[in-house]
Amino acid sequence: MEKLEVIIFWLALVSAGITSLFYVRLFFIKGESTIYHRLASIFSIATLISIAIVVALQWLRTGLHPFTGPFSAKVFYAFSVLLVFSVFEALYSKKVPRIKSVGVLIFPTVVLLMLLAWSQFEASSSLPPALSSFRVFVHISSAILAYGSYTVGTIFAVIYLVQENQLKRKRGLQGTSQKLPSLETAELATHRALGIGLIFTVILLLTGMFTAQMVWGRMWDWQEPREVSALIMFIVYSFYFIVRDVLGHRGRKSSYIALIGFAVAIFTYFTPALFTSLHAWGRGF
Amino acid sequence: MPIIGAGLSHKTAPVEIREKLSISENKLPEALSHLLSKDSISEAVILSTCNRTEIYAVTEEVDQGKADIIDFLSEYHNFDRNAFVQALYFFSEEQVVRHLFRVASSLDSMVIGEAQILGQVKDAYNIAYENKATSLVLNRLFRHAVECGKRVRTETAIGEAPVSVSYAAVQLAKNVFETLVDRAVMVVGAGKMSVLTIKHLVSNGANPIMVTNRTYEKAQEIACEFNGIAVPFNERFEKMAQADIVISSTGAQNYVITADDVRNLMKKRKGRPIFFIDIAVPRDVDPEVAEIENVFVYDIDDLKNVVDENLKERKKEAEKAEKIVEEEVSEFLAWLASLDVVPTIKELNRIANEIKEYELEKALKRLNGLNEDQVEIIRALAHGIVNKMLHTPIVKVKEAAARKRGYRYVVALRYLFGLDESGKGDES
Repeated sequence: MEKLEVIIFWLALVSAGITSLFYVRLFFIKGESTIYHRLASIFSIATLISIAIVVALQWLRTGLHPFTGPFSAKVFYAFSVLLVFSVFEALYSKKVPRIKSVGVLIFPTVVLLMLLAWSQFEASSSLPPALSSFRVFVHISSAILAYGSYTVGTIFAVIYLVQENQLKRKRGLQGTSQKLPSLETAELATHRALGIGLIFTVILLLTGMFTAQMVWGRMWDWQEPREVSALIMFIVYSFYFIVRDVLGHRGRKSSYIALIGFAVAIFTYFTPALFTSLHAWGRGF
Repeated sequence: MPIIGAGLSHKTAPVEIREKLSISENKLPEALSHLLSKDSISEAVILSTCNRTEIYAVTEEVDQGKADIIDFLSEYHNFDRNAFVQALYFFSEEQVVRHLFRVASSLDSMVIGEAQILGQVKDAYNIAYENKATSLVLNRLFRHAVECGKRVRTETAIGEAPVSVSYAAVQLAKNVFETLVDRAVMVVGAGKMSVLTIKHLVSNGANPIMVTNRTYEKAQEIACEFNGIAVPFNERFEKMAQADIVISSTGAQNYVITADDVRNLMKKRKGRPIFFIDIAVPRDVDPEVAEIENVFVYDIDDLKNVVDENLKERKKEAEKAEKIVEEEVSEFLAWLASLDVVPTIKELNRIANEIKEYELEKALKRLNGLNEDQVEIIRALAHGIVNKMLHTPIVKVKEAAARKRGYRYVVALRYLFGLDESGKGDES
């Protein structure tokens, strides 16, 4: 079973690599290429399906949830990035065909995550006892889904800033600007993706607090770096919604906040590696 | 069955003549039947757009065909031939194929790479086809031309970048707003250029259109044209708060829209993006405006630079397109040549001879001990049968080929004898 996982994992990785190449090619050629478009679509679906199979196989093996260690967590992270993007693509591509061009950043990101996953591959991993509860399953999976959404949101924020920069520099009729989705779409997609991320963050924090109450007898520990860092991440992203939706600063300002939020998210990710943390078993999760 | 083409275009004739000779789509069936009533014309397609009127025909005799086309044009339009004959160009054979392929690929257009012409060629052909004005040759020619046009569009970037200021403005607006449907537009000043730009925006769904001008009557006039709203000049900033796209083209010497105006405007708009297209000379919009967040300003120079750049780019792409056209032309000509009667007869004779020789050798090998006279008799027998069998079809096909649509017999002959697997006679 594990052998099969590894084989399909590599198929997915190669497929994601090929998809990246097609998207890069599509981005830089002049004009439209229906052949490349079709190939990119086929390979992106193949990538999504094969990663889904890897996740499913891990799941079947452990019985409770697929997160046995850094490898499986990162595979799921790659999967959630792809899943969120695919949902966006499916919802928007009819009205906004240019949304596809965002694949030029999404797929290299997926490749990167999968390579990171592989560097932390452990043979015959099984579920550590500390993680075998449904609460922990919800806790970890909502964390990873939040990261997947934030990653997609960050990519759209970057797209927004690039597009805005091109337009301001009077390059709105050149290749880059013409290939990328409009400011309106990029801004809206950022908002949606961060919204989904925020919902999962709330679930993440609540399940975390609940678990802490059960296991350690207290809900919150200001000494625990990952908890504090995750709270700051939550506050920054909430601030994004205040600035954008309450104060009405849609655009550059809100996009910068989205980037700051992601910087905090990355920091949060590495806290167990940097500090002594109760999330030590989550090192690399 | 030579193919000929005759016509005039923006390159050879002024608009006064072009509009006289143009034939509207609903009159094409009638015109085609008029044209086909000429004895020398066996197939015809009429392509009539605002930039060209061209007639493609299969004729039995080139000079007669040309004369008949001129007659047709003059009779049909009731127009003195001397008035237009000089503007006409004629093509035959290879040139006509090349010309049509270039037209379909938008290489002969006023604006190289414009997308409309391919559809117009397709429509012209479909109307001719539905009215049974075409047959094997023109069917193949026009389908091939459309294929060629499509190939040029997909394999080159000839139609990519905008080459008109108003079109460029629309493209830009679409990089700010995903769609222009129900985007409000405000027009400040009423130049000719702004009307053109409004047209483009409206055809992309922009709505409503607000027009303001120093003279209110003029604003009303244009507003009326687009079912829009006229706005008094001193109320322009209040209404601008509702607009997503502002086109400015006043004749004012100073900035009509200053940075302070726009800062106030953006407060009212709660920061929603706004796009200014400043096509006035001297400029209407203070350049400082472009630095405000969510405000995008393109002036006439920004647009013109891009348009000029894109035109250069299109010329480069056109060279690639010419190569594609050449490939397609030679492919078509190879097919056309296969319809000729003389090579077909030669080929038929060659195949018959091959069969004869093969069967003779086989038979003679088995008949041992024949003397030379006997061998000669057998050879003569085979030769006689083959020649006599082929004599009548060859004579008949030669006769038939000289008649209207006679190449059908050539096609049939090639089909029945399997002379080429590629030249399937299935398109008549």
